[in-house]
Amino acid sequence: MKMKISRARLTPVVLASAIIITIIIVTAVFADYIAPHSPYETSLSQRLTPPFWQEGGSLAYPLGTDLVGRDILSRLIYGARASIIVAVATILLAGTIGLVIGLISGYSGGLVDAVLMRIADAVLTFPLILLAILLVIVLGPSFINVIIAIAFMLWARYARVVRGEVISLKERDFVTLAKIAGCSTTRILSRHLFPNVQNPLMVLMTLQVGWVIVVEATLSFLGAGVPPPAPAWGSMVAEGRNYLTQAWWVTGMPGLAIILTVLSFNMIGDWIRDILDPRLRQV
Amino acid sequence: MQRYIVYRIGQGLLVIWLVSLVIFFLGHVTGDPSELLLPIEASEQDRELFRAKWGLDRPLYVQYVVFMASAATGDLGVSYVGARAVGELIAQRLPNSLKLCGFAMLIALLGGIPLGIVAAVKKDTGLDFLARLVAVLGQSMPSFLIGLLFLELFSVRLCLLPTSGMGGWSHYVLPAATLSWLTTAGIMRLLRSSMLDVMDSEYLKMARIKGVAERWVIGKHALRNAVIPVITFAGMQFAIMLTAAVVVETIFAWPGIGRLAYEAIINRDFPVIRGVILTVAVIVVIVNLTVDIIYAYVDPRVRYR
Repeated sequence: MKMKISRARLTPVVLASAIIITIIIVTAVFADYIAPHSPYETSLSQRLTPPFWQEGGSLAYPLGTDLVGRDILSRLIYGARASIIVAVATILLAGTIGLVIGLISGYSGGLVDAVLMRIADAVLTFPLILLAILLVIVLGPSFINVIIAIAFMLWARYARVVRGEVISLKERDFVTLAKIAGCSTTRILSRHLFPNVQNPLMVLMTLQVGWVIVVEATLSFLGAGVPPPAPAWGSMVAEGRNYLTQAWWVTGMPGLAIILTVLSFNMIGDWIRDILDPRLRQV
Repeated sequence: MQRYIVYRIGQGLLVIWLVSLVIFFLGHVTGDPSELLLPIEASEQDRELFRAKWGLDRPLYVQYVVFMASAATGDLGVSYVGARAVGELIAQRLPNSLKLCGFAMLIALLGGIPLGIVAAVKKDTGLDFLARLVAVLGQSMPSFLIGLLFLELFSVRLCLLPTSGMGGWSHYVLPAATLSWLTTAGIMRLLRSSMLDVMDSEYLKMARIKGVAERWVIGKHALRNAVIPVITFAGMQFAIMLTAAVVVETIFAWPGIGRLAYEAIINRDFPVIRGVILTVAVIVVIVNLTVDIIYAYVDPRVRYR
């Protein structure tokens, strides 16, 4: 037991990740008060201003401006809001669907289980990025549709994990006793089985926040994400890609934001897994 | 064993069928493609003609049956844009994607396996830390960022490699390296953890007690056993690469099916979209099936699960 606790110790890296995530969430929530400029306000005379530490930069635009003179810091802050909302909503949606399907599938077994799990397997082998782009283009690019598209790809993994847990739990005495005591199936699922699958579900959910942010960024990079001019990190990267040599910051800043955020979420995810469920180390 | 194979083939067919169902009906939720493809000033008569020509006036389930029946014979329909046979378009582009993915997989194996071994053998040293850093970065950097970074660094700044298109071997380096990044990280992480598991085992201690030279302990006894999960992983990753190629092919203007699909999606060219996704799904299923069957031969426990 001691070994496991020491594995999950609070390293400086974990601490730094936690601080970064806190900053990102706070700025995303209070974007209206923190952002120095409006993310849409253009100013052609100020276009392609470099970050403040480079020659020609000014503190009015700390991280520089983009091709039409919008403040990159402000767009990053509002972009953080988009990324966080999409990540949280997608994971909650996919987690809920996966939880319900996993519970039903594992508990009922037989034909229901076979059908649901084959569907889950099929979803897991779908060419995901292609399908997500297709979904977003077909449904029309919007916040909600990006969330639906990514959740559609994600739920099967949760369903699989929950089902596995339920199968190993349902023969246990406490479930049998609940049945004898006359509990309805809904009650057994929600009051007896659900609390026991919470941990692996939580672990998987935190581990995938980073992944969802990457997918969201990829979709918006390809023009199938949150529609412009709304700021999203992926589309900001795309906007500056032809100006990398003259103005690296237009692409570099949102790029760094993506890497830092995803890295931090992955670190925290690993850490939470080590605490809650070291068995999942292989996942 | 035969039962297992038959069962897995059945499962694969089911997957392909489900994919076909989803992509077919997805293409029709937006309604009538004629509204999108014909100019706004087209008359109602023109629209009727267009629908009749493409069979869009028939009930959906009839369209689906027709689509599946011809797909089964290899006929994937005709592209709305440019009126070329979808099968021909795919046949032209698919080899390029496969070559790119093959090259990327080679890089991933040549990079990930040595890194994984070093990280496991030199556990908790600077080398291990470095290898793990590469792995963590690999999993946190979206491929479009890596692609742009490579492009800027090696093509634009250093002028070492071409920026886009297909040609000699030098054209492969950047897109393949970009595509392999995530897989290299994954292989390294997996091999490291499975090597560590194996190196903890009794038979490895036995080999050491027998006096087997350390490089044989690592090279033969440990690696042989630790590499099995890596093979499965690499197989599955190949399938994932084929999809991830959309991004890489778009950045490097690589004439593969990923870019074909992307362009088709932007143009709402549904026959092409359906064709590509179906083709990719079939390849994914075949690759997974092959990996599973090889795995079942190597490890008999799998068959009885």
